Amino acid sequence: MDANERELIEAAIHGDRENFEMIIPLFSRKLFAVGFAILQDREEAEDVVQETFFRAYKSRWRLRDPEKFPAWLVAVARNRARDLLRKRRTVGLREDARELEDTSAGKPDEETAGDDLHAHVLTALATLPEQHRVAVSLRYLEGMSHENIERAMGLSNGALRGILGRALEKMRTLLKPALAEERA
Amino acid sequence: MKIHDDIEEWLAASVTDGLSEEERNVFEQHLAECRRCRALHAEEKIMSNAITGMFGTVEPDGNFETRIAQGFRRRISSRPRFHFGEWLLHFGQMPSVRWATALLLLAAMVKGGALLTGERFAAISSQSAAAHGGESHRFAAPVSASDQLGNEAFSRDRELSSYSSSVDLGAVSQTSAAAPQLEVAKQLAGASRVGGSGGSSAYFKDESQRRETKSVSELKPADSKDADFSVAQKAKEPIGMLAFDGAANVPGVVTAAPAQQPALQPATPPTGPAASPLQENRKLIRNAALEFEVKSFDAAVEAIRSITNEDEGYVATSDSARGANGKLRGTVVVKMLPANLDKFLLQLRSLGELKNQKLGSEDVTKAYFDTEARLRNSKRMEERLLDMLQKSTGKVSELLQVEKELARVREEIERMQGELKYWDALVGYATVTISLYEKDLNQAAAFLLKERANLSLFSPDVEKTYAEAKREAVEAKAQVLQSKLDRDANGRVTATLSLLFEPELADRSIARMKTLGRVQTFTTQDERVAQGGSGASDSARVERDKVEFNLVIAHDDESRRQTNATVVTPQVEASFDKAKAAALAQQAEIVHSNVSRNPQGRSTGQLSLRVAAQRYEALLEEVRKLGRLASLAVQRDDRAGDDDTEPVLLSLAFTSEETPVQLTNLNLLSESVEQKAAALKQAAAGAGVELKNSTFERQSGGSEVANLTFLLPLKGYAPFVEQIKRLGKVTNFTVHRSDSADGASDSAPAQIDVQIYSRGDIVPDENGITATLRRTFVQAFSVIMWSVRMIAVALAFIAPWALAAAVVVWIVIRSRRSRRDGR
Repeated sequence: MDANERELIEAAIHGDRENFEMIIPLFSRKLFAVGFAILQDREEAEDVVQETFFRAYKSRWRLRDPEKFPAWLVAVARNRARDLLRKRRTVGLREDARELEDTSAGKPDEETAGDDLHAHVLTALATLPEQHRVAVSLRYLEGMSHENIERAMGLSNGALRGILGRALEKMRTLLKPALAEERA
Repeated sequence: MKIHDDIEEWLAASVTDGLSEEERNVFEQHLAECRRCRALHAEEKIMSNAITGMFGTVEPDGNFETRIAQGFRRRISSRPRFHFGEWLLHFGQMPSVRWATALLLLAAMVKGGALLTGERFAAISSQSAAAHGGESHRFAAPVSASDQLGNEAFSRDRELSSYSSSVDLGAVSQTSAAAPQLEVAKQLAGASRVGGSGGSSAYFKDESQRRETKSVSELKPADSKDADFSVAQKAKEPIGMLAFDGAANVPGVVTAAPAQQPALQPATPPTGPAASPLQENRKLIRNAALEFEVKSFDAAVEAIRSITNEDEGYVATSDSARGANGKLRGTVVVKMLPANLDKFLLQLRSLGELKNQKLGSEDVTKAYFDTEARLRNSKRMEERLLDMLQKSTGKVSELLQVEKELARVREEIERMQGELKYWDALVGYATVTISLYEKDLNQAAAFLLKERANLSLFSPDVEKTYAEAKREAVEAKAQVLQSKLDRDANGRVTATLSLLFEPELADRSIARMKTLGRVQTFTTQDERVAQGGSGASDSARVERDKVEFNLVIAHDDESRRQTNATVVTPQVEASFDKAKAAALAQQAEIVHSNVSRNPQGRSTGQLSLRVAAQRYEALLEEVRKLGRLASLAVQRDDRAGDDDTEPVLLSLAFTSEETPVQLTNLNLLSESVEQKAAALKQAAAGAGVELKNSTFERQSGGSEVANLTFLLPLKGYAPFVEQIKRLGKVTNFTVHRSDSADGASDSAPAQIDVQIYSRGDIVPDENGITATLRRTFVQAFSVIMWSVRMIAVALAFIAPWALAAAVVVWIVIRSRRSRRDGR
């Protein structure tokens, strides 16, 4: 965490609404990645982000260590996302994938072959444990470094490698036929 | 090899940029060597791209952050809501708050401990009580002026303080000064109102108004200056006092007195050369009361005088009184400079044994200065009134009114001056009351020897003896307390006489009384009664008091010989009548005669006879014929010189039932108790044995007991006992026989107590393994419950302290951390 970021966080914790707003650009996409990883739904992920900032603002005084702020935010987001997941238990994952297809229909270059593959990827992602999903999502959606992901997820140093290893291995096994088809 | 085994992690790390430069080199080297891993790597890359592609489609658009920020702003109002937890946390971070909390906690602990142990903190409580009293007084004081007046006065007051340059109010915060200022202002307003009622309202218009109209009157400069003076002084006094209160609350802390007002204060009363500045400002009336036990009162008073002179005090009053035993007690009142009081009290310790000490002080500071301020106001009032008198050209009625007002004000001034003088005197000198008493003050002065003599006389002629005794009493000039002559239904006479003899004549008179008849009993009793005190004393004299003498004269015809006989006869009443007839034939006097019959038809009779000695033997022979003599007891009261002519008292008891001569206890063990008992009863009925008593009981253990009591003539005893013995196993067989000298006749009764019993269940159901186990568990459970209770008690004891300690530790840690963070 650089000094600038730390300063922003510090101001957000101790300051008012304006100060807190400064950190929204800093974390919103990461939180989106977390929300999406768990929910596989863009709109819901966005709701999660909203909700997370709101809650974090309300109880920001509880947190005294700026160093732990990112991990705390992610934890709030994960909890919030889990709540939403519980709420819509009846809705199947496939449906979400179809919704996703609809929303991404506008992109012309991936119109035919891409959509199918993306659906497969999404399905494979959905089979992973939540922690793995979040890790993969933070990496691929946000392009965060290993170190940052570890910090955001509250993992010990080097633990991410094992998580990503297992996550990608499983996805690879699941996606093997789809990828072969794609190549063919 | 390591990479090959952990290839999945390496693959994942390589496609997610998780490898360091060095690691990447090693990894690529391995890929070059290992075909399989190379293939996996290729697949992983493809898949990774696919994932990237997928996530690329879901990436939030450019407006995402804006939307989030807008949503956030919508939900959170710009004005931060008050959050109690947040506020508490921030508040708690202030070091001062932390220290205050810690101190408060400590104080609460101490106070709680004091409450628990019942200890008292006299210094603190009295101080706080004084502070409370002062406060309430202050609140109560200035309500004489109406609200409007108060407001006016307040506004005027503010103006005054804003333009007065001579007094520096800057040091005193405006708020703290406001209250006393208001008070003074109201007093001034009150004074002006009084003046207004006197008819010269022109002079006493509201000052602000006067300043507005700028009609500068002659009085104004002086007036406003006065007001300033008063305000300034008033504002400072209470604050100074408050400061003192705060300092005095902490015992042992010496604070320098704020050097504020000596210049303004009028001449203070003499407070002694060594008076501390603290005492100078405070008006404390100190007093002490001591009680000493001394060897010699006069020496002690002399010592007090010398010590008093040495300490520059004086003896105000001294009094003494001598008790009946010559011991002195008294009181010395000493006036002492307050500064020397403590030294003086210490020196007094040498007087003797200090029994009691009481030190007190009364703080009149507030009342004193209040009175002083009122006095100043009244004096000003007087000046103004005088001024008015001189300048006035008004009507006579107005002048008269002013005169009247002047008289009232002067009277008030005198009263207040007197009050101040009185206080000055009290404050200037501490009052020490020393009570002295000599050792053994309560020692008895004298003892009174009280004697009491009781004499019982027998006399053949009671009345004559009684008369003689009375004559003797008159001769001895004795005081007759009671004299009584009783004649009962039998014509027997008894006399009682209670006398009080003079001590010197008592012995002789009592000796003479003794010769009046045959002395039955004579007792004397001495008692020493302490006079005016308690305890033993060697020096006290003993005085002999009047002797109380009680005389009882009874008729001397009491029998010297008494015979008690029990006659057993089947026909009690017939025998009784015969005995009576015999007695009358022998000219015996019947003293007592009684026959009673119980519901069972059994009769008993008692007959007491007084019979002449000569006829006694003949009468006894007659009685012997009536039945068997079960007992015969003869009692003789032999005295030298007595002959056998005295009458004999013969007490006869008639009964059809005599006490058994042989008592037998038989215990039989049998399993069928009830049947055996029934069989025994039948046997008894068959043998003509009387069943006196029969009980049967079954106990909880299943054991049964039957108790049977038989009464039978001695001759039928042996065969019946044999019969009983056959019924079961005899476990106990005891015989108790009382043999009389003439030998028990066969008709004498024997009693047999038979107890038939069974053992019942030998093992009660409260034994056995289950019962033992149950008891064990019950006990274990109760022990556990007991320990739980004890733990709860211990927690109740410890928890508050642990909590307090934890809070203190937490505060310390937090404050340390915040200091470190701040650095």
